Amino acid sequence: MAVTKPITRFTLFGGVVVLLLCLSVFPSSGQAPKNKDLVHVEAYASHKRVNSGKSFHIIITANIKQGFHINSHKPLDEFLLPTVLRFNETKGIAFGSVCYPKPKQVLFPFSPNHLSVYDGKISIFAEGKVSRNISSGDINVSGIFTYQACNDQMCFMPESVGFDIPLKIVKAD
Amino acid sequence: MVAVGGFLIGIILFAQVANHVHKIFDPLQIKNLVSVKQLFSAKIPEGVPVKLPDLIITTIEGEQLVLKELTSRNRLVVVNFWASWCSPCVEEMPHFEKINRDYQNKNVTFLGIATKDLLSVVRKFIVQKEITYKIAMDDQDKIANAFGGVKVLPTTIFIDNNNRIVKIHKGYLSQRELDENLKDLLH
Repeated sequence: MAVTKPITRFTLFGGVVVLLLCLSVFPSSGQAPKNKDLVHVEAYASHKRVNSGKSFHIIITANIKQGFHINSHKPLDEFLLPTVLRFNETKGIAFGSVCYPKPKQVLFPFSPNHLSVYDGKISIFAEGKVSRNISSGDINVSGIFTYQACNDQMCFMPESVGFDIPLKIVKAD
Repeated sequence: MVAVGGFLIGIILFAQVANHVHKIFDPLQIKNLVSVKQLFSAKIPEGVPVKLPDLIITTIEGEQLVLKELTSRNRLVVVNFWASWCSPCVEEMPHFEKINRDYQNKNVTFLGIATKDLLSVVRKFIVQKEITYKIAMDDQDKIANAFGGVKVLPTTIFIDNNNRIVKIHKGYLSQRELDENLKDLLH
Protein backbone atom coordinates (compact mmCIF):
# COMPACT_ATOMS: atom_id res chain seq x y z
CA MET A 1 0.00 0.00 0.00
CA ALA A 2 2.82 2.34 0.95
CA VAL A 3 4.37 1.82 -2.49
CA THR A 4 1.25 2.64 -4.51
CA LYS A 5 0.46 5.93 -2.71
CA PRO A 6 3.18 8.11 -4.37
CA ILE A 7 2.29 6.67 -7.78
CA THR A 8 -1.38 7.61 -7.29
CA ARG A 9 -0.38 11.16 -6.29
CA PHE A 10 1.93 11.41 -9.28
CA THR A 11 -0.80 10.15 -11.63
CA LEU A 12 -3.29 12.63 -10.18
CA PHE A 13 -0.82 15.52 -10.51
CA GLY A 14 -0.04 14.48 -14.10
CA GLY A 15 -3.74 14.32 -14.90
CA VAL A 16 -4.29 17.81 -13.51
CA VAL A 17 -1.35 19.20 -15.51
CA VAL A 18 -2.64 17.59 -18.74
CA LEU A 19 -6.17 18.91 -18.07
CA LEU A 20 -4.81 22.42 -17.42
CA LEU A 21 -2.79 22.35 -20.62
CA CYS A 22 -5.85 21.25 -22.61
CA LEU A 23 -8.01 23.99 -21.10
CA SER A 24 -5.47 26.74 -21.68
CA VAL A 25 -4.07 25.70 -25.09
CA PHE A 26 -7.30 25.08 -27.03
CA PRO A 27 -9.45 28.16 -27.54
CA SER A 28 -13.22 27.85 -27.31
CA SER A 29 -14.88 26.98 -30.62
CA GLY A 30 -17.12 30.07 -30.53
CA GLN A 31 -14.21 32.51 -30.47
CA ALA A 32 -14.49 35.05 -33.30
CA PRO A 33 -11.43 36.52 -35.03
CA LYS A 34 -10.43 40.05 -34.08
CA ASN A 35 -11.63 42.83 -36.36
CA LYS A 36 -8.11 44.13 -37.11
CA ASP A 37 -7.01 40.68 -38.28
CA LEU A 38 -9.66 40.50 -40.99
CA VAL A 39 -8.28 43.04 -43.46
CA HIS A 40 -4.60 43.80 -44.00
CA VAL A 41 -4.11 47.21 -45.59
CA GLU A 42 -0.96 48.48 -47.34
CA ALA A 43 -0.43 51.82 -49.06
CA TYR A 44 2.28 52.90 -51.46
CA ALA A 45 3.00 55.31 -54.32
CA SER A 46 4.06 54.54 -57.89
CA HIS A 47 7.21 56.67 -57.41
CA LYS A 48 9.35 57.52 -54.40
CA ARG A 49 10.63 60.71 -56.10
CA VAL A 50 8.20 62.89 -58.02
CA ASN A 51 9.03 66.03 -60.03
CA SER A 52 7.01 69.14 -59.34
CA GLY A 53 4.23 69.52 -61.89
CA LYS A 54 4.08 65.74 -62.45
CA SER A 55 1.54 63.10 -61.49
CA PHE A 56 1.92 59.88 -59.55
CA HIS A 57 -0.36 57.05 -58.48
CA ILE A 58 -1.32 55.95 -55.02
CA ILE A 59 -2.22 52.29 -54.56
CA ILE A 60 -4.03 50.88 -51.55
CA THR A 61 -4.17 47.10 -51.29
CA ALA A 62 -6.54 45.37 -48.91
CA ASN A 63 -6.06 41.69 -48.26
CA ILE A 64 -9.35 40.35 -46.92
CA LYS A 65 -9.20 37.17 -44.86
CA GLN A 66 -10.68 34.11 -46.54
CA GLY A 67 -14.36 33.63 -45.69
CA PHE A 68 -14.88 37.35 -45.05
CA HIS A 69 -15.94 40.25 -47.25
CA ILE A 70 -16.24 44.00 -47.03
CA ASN A 71 -18.94 46.15 -48.60
CA SER A 72 -18.10 47.62 -51.98
CA HIS A 73 -17.82 51.37 -52.50
CA LYS A 74 -21.44 51.36 -53.66
CA PRO A 75 -23.46 48.87 -51.57
CA LEU A 76 -26.88 47.97 -52.93
CA ASP A 77 -28.64 48.86 -49.65
CA GLU A 78 -28.74 52.46 -48.44
CA PHE A 79 -28.00 51.47 -44.81
CA LEU A 80 -24.81 49.53 -45.53
CA LEU A 81 -21.48 51.25 -44.97
CA PRO A 82 -19.37 51.63 -48.13
CA THR A 83 -15.63 51.05 -48.42
CA VAL A 84 -14.10 54.51 -48.70
CA LEU A 85 -10.61 55.86 -49.31
CA ARG A 86 -10.04 59.45 -48.19
CA PHE A 87 -6.91 61.57 -48.37
CA ASN A 88 -5.90 64.17 -45.85
CA GLU A 89 -5.24 67.57 -47.33
CA THR A 90 -1.60 67.82 -48.34
CA LYS A 91 -0.13 71.18 -49.35
CA GLY A 92 0.99 71.12 -52.99
CA ILE A 93 -0.76 67.85 -53.88
CA ALA A 94 -4.08 67.61 -55.75
CA PHE A 95 -5.82 64.23 -55.56
CA GLY A 96 -7.88 62.93 -58.47
CA SER A 97 -10.91 60.69 -58.19
CA VAL A 98 -10.47 57.32 -56.50
CA CYS A 99 -10.79 54.22 -58.69
CA TYR A 100 -12.41 51.32 -56.81
CA PRO A 101 -12.36 47.72 -58.08
CA LYS A 102 -15.37 46.08 -59.67
CA PRO A 103 -17.46 44.54 -56.87
CA LYS A 104 -18.91 41.04 -56.72
CA GLN A 105 -22.66 40.50 -56.39
CA VAL A 106 -22.92 37.70 -53.84
CA LEU A 107 -25.85 35.84 -52.28
CA PHE A 108 -25.41 34.96 -48.60
CA PRO A 109 -27.45 32.34 -46.71
CA PHE A 110 -29.08 34.97 -44.47
CA SER A 111 -30.55 37.06 -47.29
CA PRO A 112 -32.59 36.59 -50.46
CA ASN A 113 -30.93 39.70 -51.91
CA HIS A 114 -27.49 40.04 -53.47
CA LEU A 115 -24.87 42.11 -51.69
CA SER A 116 -22.21 44.14 -53.50
CA VAL A 117 -18.91 43.19 -51.87
CA TYR A 118 -15.15 42.85 -52.19
CA ASP A 119 -13.26 39.75 -51.08
CA GLY A 120 -9.76 38.34 -51.50
CA LYS A 121 -7.13 40.89 -52.44
CA ILE A 122 -8.26 44.22 -53.85
CA SER A 123 -6.41 47.31 -55.06
CA ILE A 124 -7.71 50.86 -55.03
CA PHE A 125 -6.02 53.52 -57.13
CA ALA A 126 -5.92 57.29 -57.02
CA GLU A 127 -3.93 59.90 -58.87
CA GLY A 128 -1.97 62.66 -57.17
CA LYS A 129 -0.59 65.68 -58.98
CA VAL A 130 2.27 67.70 -57.57
CA SER A 131 1.94 71.45 -57.90
CA ARG A 132 4.52 73.26 -60.06
CA ASN A 133 5.11 75.76 -57.28
CA ILE A 134 5.94 73.31 -54.51
CA SER A 135 9.47 73.46 -53.13
CA SER A 136 11.74 70.40 -53.07
CA GLY A 137 11.84 68.19 -50.02
CA ASP A 138 10.13 65.36 -48.20
CA ILE A 139 6.36 65.25 -47.84
CA ASN A 140 3.86 62.72 -46.51
CA VAL A 141 0.71 61.71 -48.32
CA SER A 142 -1.74 60.45 -45.71
CA GLY A 143 -5.30 59.25 -45.58
CA ILE A 144 -7.84 56.86 -44.12
CA PHE A 145 -9.20 53.62 -45.50
CA THR A 146 -12.61 52.76 -44.04
CA TYR A 147 -14.34 49.40 -44.35
CA GLN A 148 -16.84 47.17 -42.61
CA ALA A 149 -16.28 43.42 -42.70
CA CYS A 150 -18.69 40.50 -42.38
CA ASN A 151 -18.79 36.78 -43.03
CA ASP A 152 -21.83 34.71 -43.95
CA GLN A 153 -23.16 34.80 -40.37
CA MET A 154 -22.07 37.99 -38.62
CA CYS A 155 -20.59 41.46 -39.03
CA PHE A 156 -17.71 43.23 -37.35
CA MET A 157 -17.57 46.86 -36.26
CA PRO A 158 -16.62 49.46 -38.91
CA GLU A 159 -12.87 50.02 -39.03
CA SER A 160 -10.71 52.92 -40.20
CA VAL A 161 -7.04 52.38 -41.04
CA GLY A 162 -4.75 55.39 -41.41
CA PHE A 163 -1.80 55.35 -43.81
CA ASP A 164 1.26 57.50 -44.56
CA ILE A 165 3.24 57.44 -47.80
CA PRO A 166 6.56 59.32 -47.78
CA LEU A 167 7.41 61.12 -51.04
CA LYS A 168 10.46 63.10 -52.14
CA ILE A 169 9.57 66.13 -54.25
CA VAL A 170 12.19 67.18 -56.77
CA LYS A 171 12.02 70.59 -58.42
CA ALA A 172 11.68 70.15 -62.18
CA ASP A 173 14.31 71.97 -64.27
CA MET B 1 9.98 25.25 1.70
CA VAL B 2 9.42 22.64 -0.99
CA ALA B 3 6.30 21.41 0.78
CA VAL B 4 4.89 24.96 1.13
CA GLY B 5 5.68 25.70 -2.53
CA GLY B 6 4.06 22.47 -3.62
CA PHE B 7 1.02 23.21 -1.49
CA LEU B 8 0.62 26.71 -3.02
CA ILE B 9 1.01 25.40 -6.60
CA GLY B 10 -1.54 22.73 -5.74
CA ILE B 11 -4.05 25.34 -4.55
CA ILE B 12 -3.53 27.45 -7.72
CA LEU B 13 -3.97 24.41 -9.99
CA PHE B 14 -7.05 23.28 -8.10
CA ALA B 15 -8.58 26.79 -8.29
CA GLN B 16 -8.03 26.95 -12.05
CA VAL B 17 -9.53 23.53 -12.65
CA ALA B 18 -12.46 24.30 -10.36
CA ASN B 19 -13.04 27.59 -12.17
CA HIS B 20 -13.19 25.88 -15.59
CA VAL B 21 -15.32 23.01 -14.33
CA HIS B 22 -17.74 25.46 -12.66
CA LYS B 23 -18.10 27.48 -15.86
CA ILE B 24 -18.64 24.43 -18.05
CA PHE B 25 -21.05 22.71 -15.69
CA ASP B 26 -23.10 25.70 -14.59
CA PRO B 27 -26.52 24.26 -13.69
CA LEU B 28 -28.24 27.05 -15.58
CA GLN B 29 -26.64 25.88 -18.79
CA ILE B 30 -27.21 22.23 -18.07
CA LYS B 31 -30.92 22.89 -17.48
CA ASN B 32 -31.56 23.73 -21.12
CA LEU B 33 -29.18 21.35 -22.80
CA VAL B 34 -29.44 17.77 -23.80
CA SER B 35 -26.03 16.81 -25.20
CA VAL B 36 -22.37 17.31 -24.36
CA LYS B 37 -21.87 19.03 -27.75
CA GLN B 38 -24.58 21.55 -26.96
CA LEU B 39 -23.17 21.99 -23.46
CA PHE B 40 -19.83 23.16 -24.84
CA SER B 41 -21.29 25.24 -27.70
CA ALA B 42 -23.50 27.17 -25.27
CA LYS B 43 -20.65 27.93 -22.87
CA ILE B 44 -20.82 31.57 -21.84
CA PRO B 45 -17.54 33.26 -22.85
CA GLU B 46 -15.12 34.60 -20.26
CA GLY B 47 -15.71 38.22 -19.23
CA VAL B 48 -19.47 37.91 -19.61
CA PRO B 49 -21.26 38.42 -16.32
CA VAL B 50 -23.63 35.51 -15.76
CA LYS B 51 -25.67 37.63 -13.35
CA LEU B 52 -26.21 41.07 -14.84
CA PRO B 53 -25.52 44.32 -12.98
CA ASP B 54 -28.29 46.85 -12.44
CA LEU B 55 -28.78 48.58 -15.76
CA ILE B 56 -31.14 51.32 -16.90
CA ILE B 57 -31.78 51.35 -20.63
CA THR B 58 -33.44 54.34 -22.31
CA THR B 59 -35.35 53.51 -25.47
CA ILE B 60 -35.38 55.83 -28.47
CA GLU B 61 -38.92 56.75 -27.42
CA GLY B 62 -37.51 58.04 -24.10
CA GLU B 63 -38.86 55.20 -21.97
CA GLN B 64 -36.55 54.17 -19.13
CA LEU B 65 -36.30 50.41 -18.64
CA VAL B 66 -34.70 48.99 -15.50
CA LEU B 67 -33.34 45.68 -16.74
CA LYS B 68 -33.74 43.99 -13.35
CA GLU B 69 -37.42 44.96 -13.23
CA LEU B 70 -37.91 43.94 -16.85
CA THR B 71 -36.42 40.51 -16.26
CA SER B 72 -38.35 39.95 -13.02
CA ARG B 73 -41.64 40.74 -14.84
CA ASN B 74 -40.88 38.32 -17.70
CA ARG B 75 -39.94 34.68 -18.04
CA LEU B 76 -37.38 35.63 -20.63
CA VAL B 77 -35.88 38.88 -21.94
CA VAL B 78 -34.21 38.68 -25.35
CA VAL B 79 -31.64 41.41 -25.99
CA ASN B 80 -30.51 41.70 -29.59
CA PHE B 81 -27.45 43.84 -30.40
CA TRP B 82 -27.77 45.00 -33.99
CA ALA B 83 -26.98 47.80 -36.44
CA SER B 84 -28.71 49.17 -39.50
CA TRP B 85 -25.45 48.60 -41.44
CA CYS B 86 -25.29 44.89 -40.52
CA SER B 87 -26.99 42.73 -43.18
CA PRO B 88 -27.49 39.57 -41.06
CA CYS B 89 -28.98 41.78 -38.28
CA VAL B 90 -31.38 43.41 -40.72
CA GLU B 91 -32.45 40.05 -42.14
CA GLU B 92 -33.18 38.53 -38.72
CA MET B 93 -35.18 41.49 -37.38
CA PRO B 94 -38.47 40.42 -39.02
CA HIS B 95 -38.07 37.10 -37.15
CA PHE B 96 -37.86 39.00 -33.86
CA GLU B 97 -40.85 41.07 -34.87
CA LYS B 98 -42.94 37.98 -35.63
CA ILE B 99 -41.83 36.16 -32.48
CA ASN B 100 -42.48 39.29 -30.44
CA ARG B 101 -46.11 39.15 -31.56
CA ASP B 102 -46.40 35.35 -31.17
CA TYR B 103 -44.92 35.35 -27.66
CA GLN B 104 -46.74 38.43 -26.34
CA ASN B 105 -48.83 36.34 -23.95
CA LYS B 106 -45.93 34.13 -22.88
CA ASN B 107 -44.05 36.77 -20.87
CA VAL B 108 -41.20 37.10 -23.34
CA THR B 109 -39.88 40.59 -24.07
CA PHE B 110 -37.63 41.65 -26.94
CA LEU B 111 -35.23 44.55 -26.80
CA GLY B 112 -33.09 45.75 -29.70
CA ILE B 113 -29.85 47.60 -28.94
CA ALA B 114 -28.59 49.65 -31.88
CA THR B 115 -24.80 49.59 -31.88
CA LYS B 116 -22.43 52.09 -33.57
CA ASP B 117 -25.36 53.69 -35.31
CA LEU B 118 -26.96 57.12 -35.67
CA LEU B 119 -30.29 57.89 -34.03
CA SER B 120 -31.66 59.51 -37.20
CA VAL B 121 -30.71 56.42 -39.25
CA VAL B 122 -32.15 54.03 -36.65
CA ARG B 123 -35.45 55.95 -36.56
CA LYS B 124 -35.70 55.86 -40.35
CA PHE B 125 -34.77 52.18 -40.40
CA ILE B 126 -37.35 50.97 -37.87
CA VAL B 127 -40.12 52.89 -39.62
CA GLN B 128 -39.09 51.45 -42.98
CA LYS B 129 -38.83 47.89 -41.62
CA GLU B 130 -41.97 48.23 -39.41
CA ILE B 131 -40.21 47.20 -36.19
CA THR B 132 -42.49 47.58 -33.16
CA TYR B 133 -40.47 46.11 -30.29
CA LYS B 134 -38.43 48.41 -28.06
CA ILE B 135 -35.18 49.81 -29.44
CA ALA B 136 -32.40 51.61 -27.54
CA MET B 137 -29.17 53.25 -28.69
CA ASP B 138 -25.75 52.25 -27.37
CA ASP B 139 -23.33 54.81 -28.83
CA GLN B 140 -20.85 54.63 -25.96
CA ASP B 141 -20.96 50.82 -25.56
CA LYS B 142 -22.34 51.22 -22.02
CA ILE B 143 -24.97 48.54 -22.51
CA ALA B 144 -22.59 46.26 -24.42
CA ASN B 145 -19.99 46.58 -21.65
CA ALA B 146 -22.56 45.60 -19.04
CA PHE B 147 -22.92 42.36 -20.99
CA GLY B 148 -19.14 41.83 -21.05
CA GLY B 149 -18.62 43.55 -24.44
CA VAL B 150 -20.12 42.87 -27.85
CA LYS B 151 -17.58 42.32 -30.64
CA VAL B 152 -19.80 40.98 -33.43
CA LEU B 153 -23.28 41.70 -34.70
CA PRO B 154 -25.85 40.35 -34.41
CA THR B 155 -25.40 39.12 -30.86
CA THR B 156 -28.51 37.84 -29.12
CA ILE B 157 -28.58 37.37 -25.35
CA PHE B 158 -31.30 35.48 -23.51
CA ILE B 159 -31.87 36.53 -19.88
CA ASP B 160 -34.05 34.66 -17.39
CA ASN B 161 -36.25 36.21 -14.72
CA ASN B 162 -33.43 36.03 -12.16
CA ASN B 163 -31.49 38.55 -14.26
CA ARG B 164 -29.07 35.83 -15.37
CA ILE B 165 -27.75 35.25 -18.89
CA VAL B 166 -28.83 31.77 -19.95
CA LYS B 167 -27.68 31.82 -23.57
CA ILE B 168 -25.67 33.93 -25.97
CA HIS B 169 -25.94 33.51 -29.72
CA LYS B 170 -23.42 35.24 -31.98
CA GLY B 171 -24.46 35.63 -35.60
CA TYR B 172 -27.62 35.32 -37.67
CA LEU B 173 -30.62 33.51 -36.19
CA SER B 174 -33.15 32.04 -38.58
CA GLN B 175 -36.83 32.04 -37.67
CA ARG B 176 -36.61 28.32 -36.89
CA GLU B 177 -33.47 28.69 -34.73
CA LEU B 178 -35.00 31.57 -32.79
CA ASP B 179 -38.22 29.65 -32.25
CA GLU B 180 -36.31 26.54 -31.12
CA ASN B 181 -34.18 28.57 -28.72
CA LEU B 182 -37.24 30.13 -27.12
CA LYS B 183 -39.12 26.84 -26.83
CA ASP B 184 -36.02 25.23 -25.33
CA LEU B 185 -35.43 28.01 -22.81
CA LEU B 186 -39.10 28.30 -21.84
CA HIS B 187 -39.49 24.54 -21.45
